Amino acid sequence: MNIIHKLTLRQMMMNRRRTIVTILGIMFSVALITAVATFSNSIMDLFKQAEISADGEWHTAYEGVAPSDIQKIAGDDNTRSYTAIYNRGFVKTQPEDLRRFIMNLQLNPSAYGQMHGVLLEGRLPENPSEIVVSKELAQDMPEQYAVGKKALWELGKRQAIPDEEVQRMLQDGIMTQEDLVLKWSSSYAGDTGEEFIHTENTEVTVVGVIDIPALSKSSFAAYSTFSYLDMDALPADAYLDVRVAVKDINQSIYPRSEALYETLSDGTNMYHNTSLLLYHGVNSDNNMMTTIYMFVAIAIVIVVVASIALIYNSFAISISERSVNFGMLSGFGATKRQKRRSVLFEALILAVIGIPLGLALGFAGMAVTYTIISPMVASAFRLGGEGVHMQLALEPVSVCVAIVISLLTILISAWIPAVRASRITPIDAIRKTMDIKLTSREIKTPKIIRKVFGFEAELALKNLKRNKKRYRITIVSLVLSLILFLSASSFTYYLTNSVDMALVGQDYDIVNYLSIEKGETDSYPEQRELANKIINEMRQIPGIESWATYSYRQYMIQATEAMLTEQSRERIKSEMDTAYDPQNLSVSVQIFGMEKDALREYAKRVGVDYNTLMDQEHPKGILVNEYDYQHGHQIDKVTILNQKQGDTLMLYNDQQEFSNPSSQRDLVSVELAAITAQTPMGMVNKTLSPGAVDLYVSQEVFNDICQKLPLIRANFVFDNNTEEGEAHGHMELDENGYLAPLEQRVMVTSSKDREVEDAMYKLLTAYRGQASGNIMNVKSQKQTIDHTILIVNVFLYGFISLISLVGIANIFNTISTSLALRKRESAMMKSIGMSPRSFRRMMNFESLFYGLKTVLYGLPTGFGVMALIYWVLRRNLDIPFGVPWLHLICGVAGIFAIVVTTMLYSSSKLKRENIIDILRNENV
Amino acid sequence: MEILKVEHLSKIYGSGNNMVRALDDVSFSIESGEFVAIIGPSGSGKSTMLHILGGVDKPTSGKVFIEGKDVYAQNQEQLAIFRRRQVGLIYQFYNLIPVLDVEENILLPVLLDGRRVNTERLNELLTLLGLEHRRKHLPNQLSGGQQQRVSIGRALINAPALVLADEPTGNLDSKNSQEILQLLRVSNRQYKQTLVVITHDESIALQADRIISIEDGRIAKDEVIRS
Repeated sequence: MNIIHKLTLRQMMMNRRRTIVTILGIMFSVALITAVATFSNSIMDLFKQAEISADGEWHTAYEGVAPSDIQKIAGDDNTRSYTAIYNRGFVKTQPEDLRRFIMNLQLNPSAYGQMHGVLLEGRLPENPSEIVVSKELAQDMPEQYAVGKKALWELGKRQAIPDEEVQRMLQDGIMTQEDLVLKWSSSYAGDTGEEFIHTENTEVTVVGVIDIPALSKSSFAAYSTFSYLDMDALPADAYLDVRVAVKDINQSIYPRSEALYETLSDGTNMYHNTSLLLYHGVNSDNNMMTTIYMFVAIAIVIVVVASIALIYNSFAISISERSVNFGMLSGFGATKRQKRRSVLFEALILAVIGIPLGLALGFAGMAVTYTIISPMVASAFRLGGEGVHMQLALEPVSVCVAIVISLLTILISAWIPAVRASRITPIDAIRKTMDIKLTSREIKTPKIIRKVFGFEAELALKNLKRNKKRYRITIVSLVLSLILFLSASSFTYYLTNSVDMALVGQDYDIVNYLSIEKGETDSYPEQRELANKIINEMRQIPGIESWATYSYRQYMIQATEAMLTEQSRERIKSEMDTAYDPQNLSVSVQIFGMEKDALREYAKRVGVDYNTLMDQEHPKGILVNEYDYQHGHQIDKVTILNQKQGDTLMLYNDQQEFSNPSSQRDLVSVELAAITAQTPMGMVNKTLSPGAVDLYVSQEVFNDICQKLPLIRANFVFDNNTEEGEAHGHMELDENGYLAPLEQRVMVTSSKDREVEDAMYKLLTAYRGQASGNIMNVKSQKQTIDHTILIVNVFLYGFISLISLVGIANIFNTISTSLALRKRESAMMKSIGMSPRSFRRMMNFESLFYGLKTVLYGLPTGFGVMALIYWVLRRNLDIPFGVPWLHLICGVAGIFAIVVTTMLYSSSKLKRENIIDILRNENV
Repeated sequence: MEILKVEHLSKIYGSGNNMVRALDDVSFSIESGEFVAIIGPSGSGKSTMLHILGGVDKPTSGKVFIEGKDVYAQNQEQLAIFRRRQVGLIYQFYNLIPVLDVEENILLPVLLDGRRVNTERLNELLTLLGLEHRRKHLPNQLSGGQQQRVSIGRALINAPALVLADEPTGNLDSKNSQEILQLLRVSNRQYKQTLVVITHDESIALQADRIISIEDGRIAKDEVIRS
């Protein structure tokens, strides 16, 4: 080690505190860069795992492979492992079963591993008459398909029933009969879409149960069972599906698989697992990847800027402290090069210590973070599957990238100070002219400062101004931290707000939109009876905590202009396509039939006698007449009808005019027992298109109305396809006059939402053909959103805290150094009679000015960034502009806290030193 | 009139083997308007003495009275106020505040005291110091002699009971040294300013009224050379 390096090391040891703080800063920067660089890998890895768990590990699939071609695929030099699937046939199940068939897939032995199957019970099959059954089948038919049971199967194939167009194509030879055969992975084509053709009978023995999601998806029409694939026993016309996991996962997969495909028999299809390949970085032409890379790039730029500010500043301080040394060195004949090297050597030392520490911290931090948030990530991205975890994915490339970026950052930051150091001449050092080149103008302060705050404040401000560069760097660091914090908080603020807005009024966990139509000859009483039966069964589902159900149906209200508010009139005028006739208008109304208890509670709340609502002779209802009309980002209150309590509404069915325009309207009158803005449980008076009203009546009144104004089923009649391929058509009333389905909404709350949801599905399966339901698990949706926000917060705030730490290291270095440089001055001030209180006052003013200046620049910029974030987000989210005041106050308070703490720490060091020692010592 | 009285002053640095007895039971007093030089070889304790007199360093034992007031019976806050009103300090290295101009540096004790500036007094001092045309200059725009004159102005602005100077010419050439000394004598004569100067320069000491020699923390000689 030469003398200059030795000197550098000594110097660093002498300023141990600053060296340590700088190393800490570098460490945080490197940790951040590492974290950001490996983040994309880890996300990709997570998706990769989820994809493999859901769909098996394969990259290229060949469909319709002839048995003789299997060896070509298996023997290809890029094939690592392959799964060969032969579907022996389907077996019909009972009508009440969830899936309509059971299928028997024969697999080669390596398939189970490659498709990520987990054997839950028993063993794998060893011949074609032994089967392992999927978890789903074992659960749904435990009596027939337990291990050890035998089953007699009538196997067959499923074939699509050709419609006219397909018929024509068959005749023309564009399609063959073979093309009609449905694959094992197909979903159910409906009673009129496919037929079952029996082929053979066989007996099988259950030897095991397997969980293998990739080959047992819920979209399949059939439960899966698996048996041994005996290539020699395959029929001559058999074909298989083969899925290949390749050895080299890179762009070469395309030409190599193409080459293999060329050698296979005609009729084989080939395709790639694009999603899995995407997560491997092959074929990255994708929006998601672009977004992730952009995010990574932006984050790295921010980190690098903050780090450069820190490290540059730290070196600038070091150089000015060492200027005497540099002058001396050059006096003894050190060359520019040697002086420059001395600084770069210092940088190298810092890098050698800081980078490995930072790498370790980054990896450890991410590993811990991933472990903690892994379950939430799985929920947020709706990724299931065994063993899918967000984990630290170390790619040598990203680690290298992190190291190189960090090293470059340090060297760039050190370069300018190094050059400056090399220019220091002996004379500069002796005159100490490097740092202090003040002019009166630079440190001019407004007179008002002294008048208002006193002399200490003026001194404080002059102190800040004396070293503009450092002052500016400190302010920039502080401002950067503040802006980042404000951006992050506004981002989550908007996200949370939009979620809250979307979920407003959803005070239930699961909603089930039931549609009940008993059959083709049903009457309303029959529909009603069936609906009651289903509802009663649903109510028995264990785990339901509270319950509400409404029957609902849409009718029209016969209206005159006088019945409408100004707002409604205007809207109707603008929307009508026929002539506006003030005496003959209409408003649509949604009628809700309520159960007794719920109605009693609601009636009490709006101040109506419950008993009058039960009077079927004189039907009465509660009208909700005020709505929050949400359009774009705005919410307006609208009132629709100009009616009073006791007025009567005339309801009619507008279908009648379609089918028989000349007939007299059938009318049903309902008296308004109350007009309110309140809604019963689970309902909201929020609307996206104002104009319709909601009317709540008893179930009995509802039934009467439905019977008096029967609604006929409306069918969509296909006319033609537009040029863009969209279906065009019109609604036509059912020619047999069948009734429209009865619609019933069921809302429940439950802490066991998933179980209740499953039970509802099961229950509805039993009524297949008579009732259907659209079940939404609001609770799990809420959870998903909550978890997403939490993840965003973890990463965002994690990032910001770390970057703020880098900033704080910088601020700490600057403030403590500038205080140390002013040691002598402070001592002199004290010696000529500056009291401790005055000194504290001066320091407090310095902190205050730092803080004020930061807020002055940071707040407007922060608001700007907030507006920008709002502007970006509003394209996707319906949210009003708002300011997260609490976060704002926290941010500003944080800035002052940082400055004050640093000041206190540094000046407490000053206090401990003896005034005399400082004054006598020329070399301070 | 007795303006300064020192009784049995001792100052001990360190302890055990490292113990240094910088001042050892020193007692003396100074009359108002006296010009006293304290001389002695380096390490004799003369600087320690000056700092204790100026209220910036605490004695281990003994008492210092200025205008009859026990200096070290005051707390930190009172001591600071005492310093800026009753004591003027002049250092070898001037110790000016680089961000304040000449005027402000001179006015520093007044400003710290939060008192109204006596412009007449300031102008008078600036003229005396020959700095009338340098009012708005910053210290780094001044020569060494000029800087030291500013620090003298700062010491005199409050017309303190006592002006203490620690090697005021130690950092200056002989021409500037003479000028500074001249100034100090003028202030002593014109304003009846009590003056204590520490020096190891015999020729400067000889211009004082009284010379106190210190050796090994004790007064070795105390002689009045003119009165």
